[in-house]
Amino acid sequence: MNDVNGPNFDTGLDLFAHTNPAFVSAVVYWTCKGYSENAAKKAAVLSLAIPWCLVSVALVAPDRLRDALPETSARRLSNLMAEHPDWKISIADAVRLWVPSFWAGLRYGIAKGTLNLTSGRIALQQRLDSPATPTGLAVQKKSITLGKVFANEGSDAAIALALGVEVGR
Amino acid sequence: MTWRIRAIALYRAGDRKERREINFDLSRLQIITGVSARGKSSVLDIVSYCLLSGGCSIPKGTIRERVSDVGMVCENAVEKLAIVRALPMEGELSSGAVHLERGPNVWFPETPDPRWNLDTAKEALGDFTGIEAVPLLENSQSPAEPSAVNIRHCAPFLFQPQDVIASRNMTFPWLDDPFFRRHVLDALDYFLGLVTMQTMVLRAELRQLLAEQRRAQQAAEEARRLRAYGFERGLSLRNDALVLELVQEGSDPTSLEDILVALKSATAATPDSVATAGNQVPFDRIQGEEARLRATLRREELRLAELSRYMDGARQRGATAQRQLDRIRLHELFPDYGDTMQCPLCLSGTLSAKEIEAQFTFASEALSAVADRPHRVESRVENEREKVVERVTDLRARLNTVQDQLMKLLPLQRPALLTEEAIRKRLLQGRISEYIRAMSRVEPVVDTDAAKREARIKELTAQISETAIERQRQMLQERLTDIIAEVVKKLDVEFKDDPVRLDLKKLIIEVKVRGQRWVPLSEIGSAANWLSYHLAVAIGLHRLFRQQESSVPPVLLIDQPSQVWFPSDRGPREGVIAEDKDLEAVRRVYRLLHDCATKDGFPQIIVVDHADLSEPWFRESIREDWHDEEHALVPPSWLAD
Repeated sequence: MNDVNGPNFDTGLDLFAHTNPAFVSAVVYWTCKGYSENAAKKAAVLSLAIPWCLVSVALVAPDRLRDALPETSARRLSNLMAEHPDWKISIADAVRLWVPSFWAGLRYGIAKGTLNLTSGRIALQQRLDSPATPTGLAVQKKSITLGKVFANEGSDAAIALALGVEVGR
Repeated sequence: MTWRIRAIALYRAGDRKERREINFDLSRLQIITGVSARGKSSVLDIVSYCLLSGGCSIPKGTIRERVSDVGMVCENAVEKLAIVRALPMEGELSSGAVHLERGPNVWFPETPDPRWNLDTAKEALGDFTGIEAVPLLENSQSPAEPSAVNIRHCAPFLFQPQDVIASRNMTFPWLDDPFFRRHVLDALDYFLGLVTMQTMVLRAELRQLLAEQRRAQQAAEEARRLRAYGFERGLSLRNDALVLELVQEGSDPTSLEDILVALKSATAATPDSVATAGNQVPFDRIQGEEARLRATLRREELRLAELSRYMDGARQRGATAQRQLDRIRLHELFPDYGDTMQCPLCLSGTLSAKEIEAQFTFASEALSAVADRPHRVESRVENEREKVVERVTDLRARLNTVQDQLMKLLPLQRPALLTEEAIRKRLLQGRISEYIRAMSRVEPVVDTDAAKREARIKELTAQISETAIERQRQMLQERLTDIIAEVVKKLDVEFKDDPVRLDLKKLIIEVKVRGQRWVPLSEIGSAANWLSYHLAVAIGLHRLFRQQESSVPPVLLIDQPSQVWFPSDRGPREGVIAEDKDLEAVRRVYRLLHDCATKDGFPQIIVVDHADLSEPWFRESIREDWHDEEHALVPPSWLAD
């Protein structure tokens, strides 16, 4: 049984393209990459917790939200969320919708060897090449920046507080 | 010019050639005496009938059965007038046919030839009498055209019939008809000379002058009113004319004259006629072309928009597909990892790499087909769009040109507007003309005759106004009262020294009893008083007529003045009752009548009575004596058949 939603008449080509596991896996990879870069500066854990990867996919995947994400990691997550109050309202549903695709992507990345699970967190393994297309570049840049922003918060609790969510329930 | 009675006649029924005539002297007292039922009273009826009465009061019986016609010859200083009327046939009230003959030697015709009707006969008799046809009498059927006075309106003053002479309520006969009474009262003003034909002429003149005066006053009032309200109205019209360019712009007018000058120039302007205004040729053609171009341009623009929308849609779809394709192609960044991918948790090979890659391949190819658009179609669409753009550009240029032409033509050659404007100008000119006509009445009318007219009105008013006539009537009333007072002194009345008068506005006899107030005859007792006062008033009135040179004939016919002292079956005959007080009263009456008819110049008094006094003057006055069986109005020989 294949639980990855492939392109067919039921899901549609656009939906597959939008949520394809390679895309999700790439977003997770670049988010974790950005996180690990800044986490290293702060001597914290280099791997990123799964929920923040899911949040990252939900924010980077839609073109409109991705364009609204900061260009640099100087912004604090709490400020970012304060500037976009609608995110706080819609992010829970969005994350919920992305869960199947997220897991498919996560499995795809692990299977390809770019991602790995360490102590329940997602860590980088093999290197992923840089994209050449404008969309790929934009996804890469914003994902890395968002990963850095997560790292800047210093802890999962701080991230959870900034996002207004409780993890584990 | 008035007349007296020369004779009366009766035509025997049947052959109409036998005639009974009673001749009278033109002056003095003339008595027809006789016993009852000899036709004495009918003498008065015959005279009244010959004076063209509407009905016939000649009693039915012997006379109506034995007589076919009755007639009368009147005579004035110059000529005679013979009047013969047929008695009414059975069932008729009167006869409308009249025989009239006028001339110096006229007498009763052998056989009457009634060719005149009643109205023309009245005119002829009125002319013979000297009565002018003065339109004085109120005409209920046509109030604007008063009726004329005629002989019938003086007839009541000629008669004192048996039932009137001793009446306490009636002064003259036939006045119980209120309509006739009104006419007699009105005509009395004429007969007394208060109103003459000259008066009527002067009245007409006064009426005309008053109408002229009223018109002048109305014109002056209208001019004043127009001058007061005309300036504002004229200014409004002038402003309208200015807007429609019927007058030249200039300084604002400050007076009515300025406005009138400006408005007169506005009416002189000749705006384009409607036909001229509508005769502007090229506008319609250009307007049609402009509409056609506009419609074509609209179609082309719609087509261009459709093509552009297609191109934009194609581009958008391509971009979206490209973005999706970029996402798919991210899998190319991942390293190859064999055919089977392990589960990250249990490391079992549950994922089929081939299957996933096949999906990526399928999706990439599908999205590439969309993202990489068929350029041939797009180029054809683009070519078509460019052509449409060219056509649209060309159409816009042409449309601009045509619209420019229209804009240039519009102010000069816009037919609809010009037509409307021409109509508005014509309408305004009409209103201005009406205003100018109204304002022409503002110009002061020089009433040069005003002063002269005022003076004449004043003069005429003093002469013929109701007040003036009333004043003259009052004078005549007083004079008549004096005359009556002289007559009354000769009669045996209860209030011999108290004034007696005939109210000329009511025709009632009044006595100022004890000098206190005027008492009508109806409030005074005794038939002797009533009769005496009637006689006095009748005689006095005729004397007044003579003094006034009236046209009323100086004829007085009296029926039975002795009745109050002697009933008809017991006539006063000398020798039968001697030295009686009643006889003395009768004698006094006849003496008065005799004296009036002879000494006082009262020309003709005809009395019919039973009285047969022995005094010589009485015997001389008897014209007919019908006391024996051989004499009567209708000869006994006529009764034989």
